[in-house]
Amino acid sequence: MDENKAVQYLESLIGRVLRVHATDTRIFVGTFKCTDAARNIILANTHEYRFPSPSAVRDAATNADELAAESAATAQNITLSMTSRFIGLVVVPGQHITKIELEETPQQGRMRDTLGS
Amino acid sequence: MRAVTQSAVPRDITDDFTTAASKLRTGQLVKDEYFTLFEAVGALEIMDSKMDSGYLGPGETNAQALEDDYDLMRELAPEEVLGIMDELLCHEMAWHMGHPLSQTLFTSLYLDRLLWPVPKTLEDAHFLRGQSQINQEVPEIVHTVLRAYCLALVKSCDFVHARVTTEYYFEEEDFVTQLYNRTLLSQFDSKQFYDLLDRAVRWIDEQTGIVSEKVAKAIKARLLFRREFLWGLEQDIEVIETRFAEQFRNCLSHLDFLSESTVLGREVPESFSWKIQRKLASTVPPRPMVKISFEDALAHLKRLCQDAVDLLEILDYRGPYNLKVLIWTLLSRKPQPSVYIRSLVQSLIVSNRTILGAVPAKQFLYDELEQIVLPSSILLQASADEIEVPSDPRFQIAQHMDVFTKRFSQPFVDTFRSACLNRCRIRRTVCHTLVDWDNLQMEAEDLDEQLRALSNEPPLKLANGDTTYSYPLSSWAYHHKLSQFRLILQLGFELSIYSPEELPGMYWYLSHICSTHLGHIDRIRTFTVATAKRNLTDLAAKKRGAFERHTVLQRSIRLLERLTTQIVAVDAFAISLHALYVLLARHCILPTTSSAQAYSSDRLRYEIRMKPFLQIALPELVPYDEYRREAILEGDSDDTVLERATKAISEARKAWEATLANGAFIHDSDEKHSPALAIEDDWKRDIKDTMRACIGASIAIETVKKALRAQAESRKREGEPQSFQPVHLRVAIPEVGSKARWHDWWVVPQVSPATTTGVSKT
Amino acid sequence: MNPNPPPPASSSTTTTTPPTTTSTTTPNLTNTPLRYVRYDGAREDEYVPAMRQLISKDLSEPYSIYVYRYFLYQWGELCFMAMDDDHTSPEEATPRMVGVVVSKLEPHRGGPLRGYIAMLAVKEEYRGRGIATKLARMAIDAMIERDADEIVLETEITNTAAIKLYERLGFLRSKRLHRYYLNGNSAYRLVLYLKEGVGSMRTAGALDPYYAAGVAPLPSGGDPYGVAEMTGALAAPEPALLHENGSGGW
Repeated sequence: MDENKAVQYLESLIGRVLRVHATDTRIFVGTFKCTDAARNIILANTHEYRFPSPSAVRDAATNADELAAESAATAQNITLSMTSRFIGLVVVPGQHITKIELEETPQQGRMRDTLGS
Repeated sequence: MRAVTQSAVPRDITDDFTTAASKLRTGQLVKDEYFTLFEAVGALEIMDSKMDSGYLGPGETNAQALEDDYDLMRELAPEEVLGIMDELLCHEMAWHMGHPLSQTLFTSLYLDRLLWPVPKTLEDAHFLRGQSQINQEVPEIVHTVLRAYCLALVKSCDFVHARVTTEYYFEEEDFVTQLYNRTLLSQFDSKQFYDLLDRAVRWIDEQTGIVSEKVAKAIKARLLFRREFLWGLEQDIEVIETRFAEQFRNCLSHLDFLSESTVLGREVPESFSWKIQRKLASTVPPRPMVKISFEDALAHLKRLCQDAVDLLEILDYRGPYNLKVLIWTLLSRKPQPSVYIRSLVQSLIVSNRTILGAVPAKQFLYDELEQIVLPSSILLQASADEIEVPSDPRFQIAQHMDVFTKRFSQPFVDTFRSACLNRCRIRRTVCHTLVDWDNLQMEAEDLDEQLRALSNEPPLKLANGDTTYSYPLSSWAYHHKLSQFRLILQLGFELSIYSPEELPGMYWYLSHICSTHLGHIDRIRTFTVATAKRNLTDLAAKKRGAFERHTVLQRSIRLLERLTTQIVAVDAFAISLHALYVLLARHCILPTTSSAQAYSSDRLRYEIRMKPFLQIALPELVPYDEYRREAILEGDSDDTVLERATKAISEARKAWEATLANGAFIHDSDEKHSPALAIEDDWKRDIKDTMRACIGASIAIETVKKALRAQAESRKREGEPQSFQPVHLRVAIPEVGSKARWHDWWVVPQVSPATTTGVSKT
Repeated sequence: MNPNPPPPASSSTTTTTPPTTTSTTTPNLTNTPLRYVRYDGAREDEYVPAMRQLISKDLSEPYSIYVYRYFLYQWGELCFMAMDDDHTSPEEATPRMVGVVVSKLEPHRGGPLRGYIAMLAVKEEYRGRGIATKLARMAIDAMIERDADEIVLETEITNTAAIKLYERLGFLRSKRLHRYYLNGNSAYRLVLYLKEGVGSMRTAGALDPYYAAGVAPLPSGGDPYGVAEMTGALAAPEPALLHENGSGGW
């Protein structure tokens, strides 16, 4: 990937919803606005998702808890709800990022597969 | 809560993203073209302990992130309940003082459980909610007493929040309205809260022999206090109808006992946690819990209750002049009344275009015009005559006056409401409204000319043979504008805006504005006196209405006298301080902040100072060179300046005494005693503080006089009249709030003899 | 989707304390000659972390890397640093940064060209040597070269050392800002006019009727750092008039 391609690729992600996983296991879901060489990612309208504490897990089991948002984000890994809250505009520093995911609708996913990028 | 669309599927792009980013150069950004670097400034940095409210410290596990080990179902000793109640009161008052809920009340784990998730019914708001152990029980004292207190406290906050948010306040400066997606139980009727408190009181009463008598009494006092406080806050603007402030008086009667019994309580610090900020929807950095002492909390509460009681005194309408004195005096109390009181007063001053719930805005404006410029004028009566013939001049006068009313009602009422802002904002707001008043004055001048023709105003012959007219509406606007000039300057002193070397100039400017104002009031008076003279003929002829007109005219003349006395007092004091500061500056003993290597010149600094006035047409800006000559009293010898200071201060003292003797309010002849005793006391204290400042200035002037004489003598002794002899004086400018600063608006220098080493002998 | 309104645009940019008292803890440093340099964008990776470290020590208000970028990418030539070549920072083996000033310069509401000193910090053990004054002067001189009409900044009212420094340079307090900082402290706005007639220059606030109507865009997502306050162009105008509660209008 040369610089042009790289910029092109990153620009294609601008405005899309990213799920940025941090070293402390929190996940930040927000609209991708900006990044740099060090992967300092700015997300707008961000929600923070945190794995529930053991006692909350216990409680959730007995008491269907409307508190936490059903998060499809981690549907493959956990079926439990994560606690979430709105935190607005954030920058996740590159050195604290463990994983970056792009939210796609199934249609978008299929389209990509068909085009066979 | 974010509704995640079911269809969203995540795809791992970590590698692609990382590879692409690594190709960017240093400083190269890939960004949304509409997203500016300026916006980026607002982004909170994740994993930075200062910015990321969800950040966990080293060693903190995820399990501990949101929860504290604190068990809300644990048994609490009555002493602990007491301790928590008092801690909550501290947090409540800290919130009233302007700190966010996230740093105050919302740190309480008990409140958190009650308020989140948002309860659907009040029964829903209990400590067991969301817990798996169904058969677990909440200890009775927690369920009955603490819960009732917590819920009623939150409801109290709801009333405060509702009042403040409907009025003009500055977010973060005065108050933080943010509720973090929670409610303050606004959906529930207040009756339920009183019932809960009553039940709690009954329960405590039943604990004789179980709970220590002292502690039970302390808890009960807090419940009763809370009941009264809630009731007082619930009444809110209804006070206009009820004229009743017993609730707040009762609150006050509880405070001493609350203060002395707080020692019986035992703190439960584990039941408060700043970690709650990790759960709150929040776009601000994490901030520590705000800790204020119970003493400070009670002091704030006491002021709030006392202000709430005293504001009854503003409710009886007795004309715009008195109302202005009442409002400005009440709201200039120190410390400034809390944001709740300030918001409440705003609502009381005007709602639904009605002043104090009684006087239509138009009438209010007319009352003011009658008092100042239009006693017994057809201009004010025309609309009352209900003439419907368009050709009738009275019909046209009424129409013009309606135009005037539409334009001026709000700006006029705002001169009252602006007193309710915080002091910094008052000054900033008046700096802005000054420009509006300048424009309004010009508009009023046009109206004046049209009205003059319609009302057949007789011209007034001046001594030089010229004729002139009264221009009542624009005269009135100018009068207000000049008052605002004065306020901007005086608040400048109060807010410590001016540096020491500016003080000679600023006091000169204040006196300049005062003498302009005095000249203007003289002009108004001339016309009123002329009208009164004309009316004397009618009076002698016993014409209809002549006696009433006479009364109104005399009242207006008395008010103009009163205003004159006040402005003379300010003027003379300003002249005296100006002269005093000139001497200090001349002899290089006035502290200076600017250095010789400064970038700016006096001329440029003068321009900054005059910024609020640059756009104003009248009074005209004083050109810098003229200002400089006046400010340094160029050409006047020290003796002349000294005499000026001495004369002016003695005149000032007389004028302030006369002002005090005139009293705070205009009284109707049939009024025996002041209907606003508490506020009148504040007013008197303020005048007396000013008089103390005058005395302080006299002493400073005497000290300077002596030192200058000594200097002259020592020159004579040495036979070198031209030699440089330093004046052995030390000058300190007392800070606002310090003891030596008698009055915020009067910066009286502390002048004391200095030894040659520069150390004060005091 | 946003359950919360964005935070209000107020609060702060802090000018950090440059106390005038000489620190005696490390007297051996007080005589080290320093090198004053202008910021160089090519060396962002070296300079910015050092700057952040230096500033975050003194500052109650936290700044993300993008706060620095906002200033440095647009006005890097107004940023100056004091370097101590004799004391290299241990990790990097680069000269130690002991002082920094960060500024910007742009037209204020379409009116005067306004400079703004956003941050000024000096490492504690180097204070009392006039470094802060020197840095401030470099920034001001650079702004004057670029034809600035005026320079403004805010400083905490308790920060007497900073106030004194700027007042010595000729700044005046123009207004007081109530509870301006996150910590609840108030600030003074300090102003320096560099040319005659600056005070009379028309700004959009006075001229443009749409401005008062609140059409000027505020950055979405809020501005917890009050940069809105300092840019002016985006700052909410002060109310010309108060309005009656409820639906106003007379």
